[in-house]
Amino acid sequence: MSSRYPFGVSLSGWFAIAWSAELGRTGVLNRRAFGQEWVVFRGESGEVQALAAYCPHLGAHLGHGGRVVGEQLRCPFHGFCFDRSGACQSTPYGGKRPRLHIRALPTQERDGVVLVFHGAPQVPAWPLPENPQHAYGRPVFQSWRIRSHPQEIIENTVDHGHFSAVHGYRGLRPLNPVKTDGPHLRAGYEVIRTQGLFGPWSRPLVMCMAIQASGLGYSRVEVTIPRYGLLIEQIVYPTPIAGELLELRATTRLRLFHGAGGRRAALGRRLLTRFVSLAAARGMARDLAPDIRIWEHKAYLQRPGLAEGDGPIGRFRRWARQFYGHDEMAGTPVVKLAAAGAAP
Amino acid sequence: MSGPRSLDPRPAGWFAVALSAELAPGQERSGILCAAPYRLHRQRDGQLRYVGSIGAVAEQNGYILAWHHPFAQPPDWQVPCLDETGWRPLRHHQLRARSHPQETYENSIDLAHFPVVHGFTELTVLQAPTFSDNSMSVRYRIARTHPLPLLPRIRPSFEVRLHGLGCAHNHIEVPVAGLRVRMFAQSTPTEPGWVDIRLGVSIRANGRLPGVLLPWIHRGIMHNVVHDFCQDIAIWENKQYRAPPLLVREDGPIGSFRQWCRRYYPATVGGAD
Repeated sequence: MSSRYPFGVSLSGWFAIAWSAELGRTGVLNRRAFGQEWVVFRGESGEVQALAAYCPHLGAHLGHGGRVVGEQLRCPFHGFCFDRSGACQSTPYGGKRPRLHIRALPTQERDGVVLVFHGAPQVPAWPLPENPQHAYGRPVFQSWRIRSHPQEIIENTVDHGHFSAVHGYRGLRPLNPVKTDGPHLRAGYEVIRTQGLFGPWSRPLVMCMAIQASGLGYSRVEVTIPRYGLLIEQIVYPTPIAGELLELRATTRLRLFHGAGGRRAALGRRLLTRFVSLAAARGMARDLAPDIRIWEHKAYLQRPGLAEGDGPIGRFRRWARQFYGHDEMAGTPVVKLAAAGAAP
Repeated sequence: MSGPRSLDPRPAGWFAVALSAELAPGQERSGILCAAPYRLHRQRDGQLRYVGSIGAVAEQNGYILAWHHPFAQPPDWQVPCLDETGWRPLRHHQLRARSHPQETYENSIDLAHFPVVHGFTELTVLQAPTFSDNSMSVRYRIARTHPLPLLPRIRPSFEVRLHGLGCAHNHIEVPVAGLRVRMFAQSTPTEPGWVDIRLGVSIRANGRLPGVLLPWIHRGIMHNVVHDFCQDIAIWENKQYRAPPLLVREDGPIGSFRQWCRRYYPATVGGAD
C-alpha cells in the first residue's frame, strides 16, 4: 500500500493485461497485476485466457516452461493440464481427473487488447460498452509504466480544472453533465486546445470530447474535431501491477469523415489515416507527460480543498468506491475508503 | 511473489561450503550460511578454524561440510564418508539458484516430475522411500531418451541417499557397462531464498569399458547431471511453495518427505506442512 493514497491494487473491473500482438498465434505470457502473478495464453483456436500463475498441485509457475496443448495449458513440472475455466483436465498418470482448480479470470480480446475481469468470483463480469460501428483505422499502441493508481488516472476525466492548468485547454464547456450508470461513467466537454494537434505551430482547435469510463481500468475518449472532419478515439487502460506500480496502456485510432470514393482514394485515405493516427498518438503522449509527472508525485487527499469549477470530483469518488472490497480471495488487505486516513 | 514462501532459511544440518581444494593452508574465505555470515580459515597445519554461522566442520569426500544449527547446538549426527578407493577423482560443478534445499531434494521423491521435466521414458520404484533418523533413501530403475540413438538403451538403477537437507549421495549403477556412478548433490542455503548447489560426480568401472573412454564418460555424465539440474532450476526459481500441497495418489510420498523434513527446522514449524 502506498503512503500517497489509501487504496490497494485488488480492484474489480475490466483491466488490460497485454496487447494481442504480444501473444502471437499460440503463446504464453507472464503478467503481474493486482499484486499477483498471472499467465495469459492463447489456445490453438485463437481464444485467449488468463489464469493464476501457480499450479495448485505443487506450485510451479505455469508461465515458465508451460506449453499450450490444444485449448489447455500444460504445467512444466508434472504435466497437469488446465483448461480455460482453470479446471485440471488431465495428468500424465492417466486415471481419474484430480479435483484441482486454478483461478481463471474472464478474458476478452478487443481491438488488439487483451482484457481481464478481476473481482470476486461470485460477481459476474459486467459487459464493457459495445464498440461503435465506425470504421476506425488501425490503432496505435502506447504504454507507460508509472507510479500511480488507476483511480487517480480516471479521476482526471472529471477534473475540469486540470484541463486548462495542465493541458492548456481554454473555454471548457460541459456538453453533457457527468452521468453514472452502474460501473459506467459518462461525460462530454467542448474545449479549445490552444496548442494545435500537429505541433506548436498549428492553430487553436475546437474539440468535442465524449468520455466513457467503465470501471477504473477502461476510459474511452472520443474526440471530434469538426475543422478537420476527424474523429479520434483514445482508450486509456490503467492496470495496477503491485504496490504503486501501474501499467498505463493507451490506444489511439481515428476516422476521417471527408474524402472521395474510389480505390485510389481509399489507399490515400488509409495512408492519411495512418499518418494522422500516429500524429494524434504523439499528441496524446505529449498531453500525458505533464499528467504523469503529477500522478507520480501527488497524494490523494481524502478531503480535497475543492473550489468552484473543479468538476464533480466528489461524485466520481463515490462512484469509484464500488470497485473496491470485492476481492477477499486475493488475500490482499482491502482498505475501506471511508476508514483509511489520507496519509498514515 | 515468487520463490519459496514459507520455508525457513535457517535449517539445521550439514551443508557443503567449499571444496577441500578451494582452501589451501593459510587461506581464508567468508560467506553466508543459513542467512548469517561465517569465516573459514585453514591453518598452516591443515586444520580448519571457523567463526560465525558454522558450528563444526567435517572434511570428507573432497568437500568441506559445515554444521549449522539455529540454536548453536553441536552436531548429533554425521554424514557418512564414502570410501574412495578405486573411484576416479571427483569432477565438480557449482550452481546457484533462487530456491531452498528442501525444494531441491523434494524432487528426488517426486516421481511425476522425472518424465515431464527430464524426459525419463521409464521409472520403476525398486525400493520405496524409507525415512530414518537423519537419512532418507529410495531406489529407482530409470530409462531415458538417449543422446546417442545407436547405443543400446541403458536402464540404470538410481539410488538416492539423502542425509539431512544438505547432502544427497546418489548411486547410479549401469550393470551392462559395469559402471558405477556416485553423484554428490549438495544444496546449501546461503542468503534467504538462495541456494548454492555443489555437484560432484565420480565413476568406477569394472573393466568392461575401455579405460581410454572413461574420462569422456565421466565428463558426459557430469554434463548430463548439470543439464538436469538446470532444468529443475528453471522450475524452482519460479515456483511457489505450496503447503499443504494438493496431491494426487500417484504423486509419491511428498507428504511423508515433508513430514520428515520438519526435524531440520527447530526454529520454526513453517518449514513443513
